[in-house]
Formats: sequence, structure tokens, C-alpha cells
Amino acid sequence: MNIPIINEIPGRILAPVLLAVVAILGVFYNHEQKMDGLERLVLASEQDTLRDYLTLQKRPLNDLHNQARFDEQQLQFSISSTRALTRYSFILDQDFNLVMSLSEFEPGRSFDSTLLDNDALLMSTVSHLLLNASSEIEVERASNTLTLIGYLALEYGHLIVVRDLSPQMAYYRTQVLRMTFKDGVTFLLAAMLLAIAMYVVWFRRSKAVLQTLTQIGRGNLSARCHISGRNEMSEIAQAINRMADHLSLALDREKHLVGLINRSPIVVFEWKNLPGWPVNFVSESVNSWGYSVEDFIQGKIHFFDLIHPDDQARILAEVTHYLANGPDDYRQEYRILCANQEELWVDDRTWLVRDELGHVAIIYGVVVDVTELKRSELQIRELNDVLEQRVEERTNALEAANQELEAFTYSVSHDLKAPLRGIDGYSQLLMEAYRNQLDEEGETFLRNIRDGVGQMHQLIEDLLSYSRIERKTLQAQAFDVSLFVKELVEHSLKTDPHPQAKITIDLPSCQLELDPDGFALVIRNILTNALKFSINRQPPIVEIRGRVTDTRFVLEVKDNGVGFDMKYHDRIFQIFQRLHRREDFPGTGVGLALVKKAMQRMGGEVRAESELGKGALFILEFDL
Amino acid sequence: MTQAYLQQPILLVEDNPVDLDLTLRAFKRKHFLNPIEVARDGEEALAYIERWDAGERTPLVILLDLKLPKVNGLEVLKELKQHPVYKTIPVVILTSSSEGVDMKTAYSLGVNSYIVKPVDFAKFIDVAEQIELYWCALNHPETR
Repeated sequence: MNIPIINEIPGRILAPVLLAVVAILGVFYNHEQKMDGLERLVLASEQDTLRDYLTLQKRPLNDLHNQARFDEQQLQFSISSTRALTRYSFILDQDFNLVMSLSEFEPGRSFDSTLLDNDALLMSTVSHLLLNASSEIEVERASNTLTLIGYLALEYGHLIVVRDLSPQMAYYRTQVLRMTFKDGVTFLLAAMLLAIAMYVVWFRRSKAVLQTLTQIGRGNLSARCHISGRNEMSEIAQAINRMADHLSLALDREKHLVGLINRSPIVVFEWKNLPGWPVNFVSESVNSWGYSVEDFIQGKIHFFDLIHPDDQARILAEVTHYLANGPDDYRQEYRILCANQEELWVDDRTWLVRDELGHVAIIYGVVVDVTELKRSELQIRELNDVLEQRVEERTNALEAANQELEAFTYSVSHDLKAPLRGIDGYSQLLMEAYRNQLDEEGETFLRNIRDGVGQMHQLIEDLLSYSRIERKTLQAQAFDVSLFVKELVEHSLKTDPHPQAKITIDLPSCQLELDPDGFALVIRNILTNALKFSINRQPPIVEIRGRVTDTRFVLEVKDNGVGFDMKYHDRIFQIFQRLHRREDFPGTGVGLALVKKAMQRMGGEVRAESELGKGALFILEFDL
Repeated sequence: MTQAYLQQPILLVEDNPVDLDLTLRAFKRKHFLNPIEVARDGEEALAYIERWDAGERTPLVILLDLKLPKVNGLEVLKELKQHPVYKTIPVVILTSSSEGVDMKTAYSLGVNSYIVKPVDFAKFIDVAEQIELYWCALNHPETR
């Protein structure tokens, strides 16, 4: 509700005034109600009284007429008995001639309005009653007046009694007014008491609340409102106290945060979007750059002047781009100059606040000194460069070494075999051409020379294979391991037949992705090995079997050969390591080393299990 | 009467005196009739091109070692196989090297055959026989 006058009046005045007005209006209304009722009550009661009176008068008045002697005295008395209530009283005969009257009128006179002091209203009511009375006794109110008219039909005529109720009414009115006055006083007193009570319970408290709020508003966050009890105002006071608690807590926190920022290497800025980026706010931590907050706030320094001249153009271009196109959240790295001209690298994280039209109004920035980081970065980069250079040097050296090794291998392959060929060739030529000049021992010597050449040749070939598998670039291809092993075994037996040997292959069909040459080398050598060491068994048995686990393919080659002592299970895979004499089992001691190397290169594993004299089991595992 | 192809020489390019001697002996053992001309290094081998241009008879086959002084066998091979006229002369590499790289390179340069010299002399004689049979006899059946 917005009624200016009410808004202007303080509640402590308005409330009692309103109360008083309500009290007065209440009393007035009550009075009116009573008055209204009073008239109706008095009229009803007087009508009854008049009716009773007329009933009582009927008999004496009839009797009075029957008496031979008209006793004036008697009549006088009879009428006068009603005097107090009667204004007019007439007895008329059947022809409406006055028989008797309360006033001094001579009998026999006909009834007219002069008898009623020319009161026309009264006259018309009386005439109506006289002419139209339907019953013996009738009482009627002269319209809208405090006058009652009673009618009694007599044996010899009519009785008209006119009663004026005004004096009575006036009396009653006085009585009612007195009562109303009493009521009014009582109500006003009550209103006054209520106003006092309200002042005590409401206005005094609200004043206290107002005072507290005023203090809080002025920044005194320690101000508190003390109102006891559980009333509304005390609840409001408590709410205010809680609010003040929160406010002071938040303020403390803010102070704490600002303190933290000021002590941190972070500098917080709020820039205006104006040329040179003048500063609205800057944290005290800017002191660490040798500048004071006032320098910026008073406009002595603009932020743009701080940026290293070499970076200014870039930063300006970037910021202009961001202001025009966004994103509103970006990050920049550049150099700034401290007050002492020292150069610092900073990491500036900025966000833009735009107005409704999309124009950037404020620019916030958190600027962190990352000089150390930059320096480390630079160092790391330098170190990296050095490292890369070293790696390159080493790689080159390694490549050179590799080339040397290749050249060496090439020489071995070529040059070492040439003299062997000479030795073998001339031994044979000697044997053929000079046989008759040689005795048996001489022939044995020549045979031994040729055996030696054969071994030497094998050794060279094995060594070359070993170095080849080490140098070779592996090229993985998918193949079915079961089919491939079968082919390899068949081929191997074709070139080196073992007719007595029982060879079984039981492999699940499985795709492996390996270098086929490496895999073939492994299988050939393992098979050759198994056949070689079981040659003396009847029959030699070699079982090749396989299984697939979660991640690997496991291939096992089991023979029934001489086996080996498990304490040598590692040694058998070392190059040139032999567990048997050459005359028992020929070989160079390179075969299993080749297997191990090839398995390593293919990412697989090989191991052997055995017991002396009970055959050997070679387990090859390949990743699926 | 001596058949025409038997007049045609075989060019043997070999630097190692032992291998050279053994090869010659192996051919002799198999009663090889063609004259054998010998070049002892790559340069000498390439010098034959000029001699052929000058009218000397081109060889039936060239037996070429890989590891040679001055110009190595693969370079000689390359030169020969790029020559507009003499690229048709069959070239057989006869070497100790069993390196896959060497074989691949040689074949990619257009060699006609690649033979690894066996260490065993008996096998060497077999090789000599096969060379003679294939490159000298079978390749010229009409003249036999």
C-alpha cells in the first residue's frame, strides 16, 4: 500500500492514532446501534403499554356512561390518571362529537383538527383510526413521529388517546449517551494502554534493531542487537547478528585473501579498456616489481609502459584481437621491466568482462613471475640440444661401428674362407697327386687337415649367422604357426634325413606375427639340436607341441636324448659353450646361442628343462 | 673340327691367387677347352670393354668375384649391364660371400647367376663343371 501520508508518519505515532480513531469509531458505531435499537424498543414497549391501558379503560369507561349521573369528578380522575403519558385524550360519541376531553373543551362540539392543535399528520392518523378501526382496540404510530395513537371502541362512542413519547425518549437518550461516554473513555484508555504496550514490545525493539543496523551500515561489524525472548523482533535481531557474523567472517576472509595475494608472487590487476591500459586496481604485490600501487592508481604509470619494448607490439596485437574476437579467457607470456630495469618473464592470465553491447568494460589479469621457470626451460632446451647432439654423435659412432662390423663380417665371409679353400683344395690335390708317396700316417694328417678346414668353415658360417641375426632388421609377417613348423620340419629332414627318428607335431592352428626368417632359424636349430642329441636312442623321438595361453603362444620341443644337468641350463644358450666332446656330438656351440638371440630379437623367450640322460625340453614363448 | 664356341674365351675376374689357381685347376680337371682370360681387379675387367671395342672376341661368360681391388665386383657388374652392347654377355658372380644383401644387389643389377664358392675342393670342381655345362655348352646347343 502506498499512501504518502501514512508513509511519512512514523509507526510509533501512527499506531496510537489509528488505535484511537478505531476506538472512537467503534464507540460511535455502538452508540448509533444502541440509539437505533432504543427507538424501536421504546415504541414497541409503549405500544404494548398503551394497548394494556386501553384494555383496562374499556370497562370503567363503558360503566361510566351507564351511570345515570355523569360524575365529572370521576372522569376527571380517570383521565388524569393517564395524564403523565397523555398529550390528548378524547371521548367521542357515535357521531364523533366530543363527550369528554382531557383539555378544557366543552362537550358536544364536533371533532376537528383544532382539537389536535391543527396537527395535520396527527389528524389524518386519528381520522383514519376513527373511520376504519377494525377491532375494538388499536394502537398506531403517527408516521415517523414519536407519537402513539390509541383507539378504543366504547359502547357509546370512541376513545382516542394520543401519547407523546418524546420526553421519555429524551430521557433514554441521555441515559444512552452517558453509557456511550463511559464506553468511549474505556476504549480510549484501552487504546492508550495498547499503544504503550506496543511501544514497549515493538517500537523500542525496532529502534534497537535500527541502531544496530545503522552501525553495521557504517562499517562497525562488531555491533550486535540484544533483544531477549522469542518474539519476532528478537528473531529479526538474531538474524541481523548472524548476518553481521557472516559479513565480518567474509570480510576477514577477504582481508586474509588480499593479504595472501599481497604476499604472493602473483600480481592482480584490473585494467580499464582504454589506451595504455590504465589501472583500476592492483594488488600490493606489485611492490615486488619495484612499483607502488599509487603509481598505477594515480595514473603515473600505465601498464603498457611496463611491457618490454620488444614485446609491446605483439601483446598489443594479441590483446586487440582478443578484445575484438575473444576468447574472453586467455593467457600470454611476455617480458616486463621492473622499476630497476630488471627484465622479468611473466605469465598473464586474463579474462574480459563485457557490457550488454559486448564491449569489453573491464580487463582482469593475474600476472605471475615465471622468470625462473623460463630460465629452467631455456636450460632444459640447451641441455636437450646438447643431449640431442650427443645422441647424434653416439648414433653416428654406433653407425660407424656397425658399418665397421659389417665390413668385418664381410671380410670374414670373404677373406677368411679363401685361405680355407686353398688349404682344402691343395690338401686334396696333394692327396690325389702324391698318394703313392704318402704312407698311412701322412694320409691321416691330410684328412685331419681337411676335417679342421670343415670345422673352421662351419664355425665361420655359424658366426656369420649369429652376427646376421643380430644386425638384421626384422620384418614381422603373419603366418600360421602350425603349417609353418610342419613345412620347416619337412624341409629340414629333406636336407638332413633322419629316417629312424620319430617326429610328431601337435600344434594348434594359431596366427603369429613374427619375422619368418628368425622363426625358421629358431625351429631349424632347435630341431637339429634335438635330433643330434638323441641320435643314439632307439628310436630317437622328438615331440613338437604347442598351446595358446592368454597372451602367448607356447611351443615345446621334447626329445629323448642325452639331456643335460640343470645346473647348466643357462650355459647352453651361451655362444661357444659346449657340454659334450666334439667327437661325441659335433658342433660349434653357436646353434642355441643363435636361438636365444633370435628369440630375444623377436620379443620371445626360450628356456630349457632337462635331467641328465632323460631327454631335454625346450620351451619357446611368443607374444600373440 | 674345333667348334666355334670353343674358340670363345671365358673371362675370369679374380684377385686372390689361390682361388685363381684352384679355379683354373678345377676347369682343367673337367677338361675345359675354352681359353680363359683373367682380370686381377675391377679396373682390369672394365678395360676389357675397350679391347672388345677394338675387335677382340667377347667372352662366352664372365665369372666375377665381388671383393676386388680398385673397383669392386658390383660396380663392374653395374657398368657391364648398363653397356648398350655388352650387357648381353652373361655374368656369373662367383664369390665367398653368402650375404643376402650381396645376392639381392647383384640380381637387381642384372646378374645372370650367383654362386657361392664352396670351401670343399671337391664341391668346387662340381661347381666348375656346372658352370661349363650350363653357360658354355647348354647355352650354345646349335654349335655343338
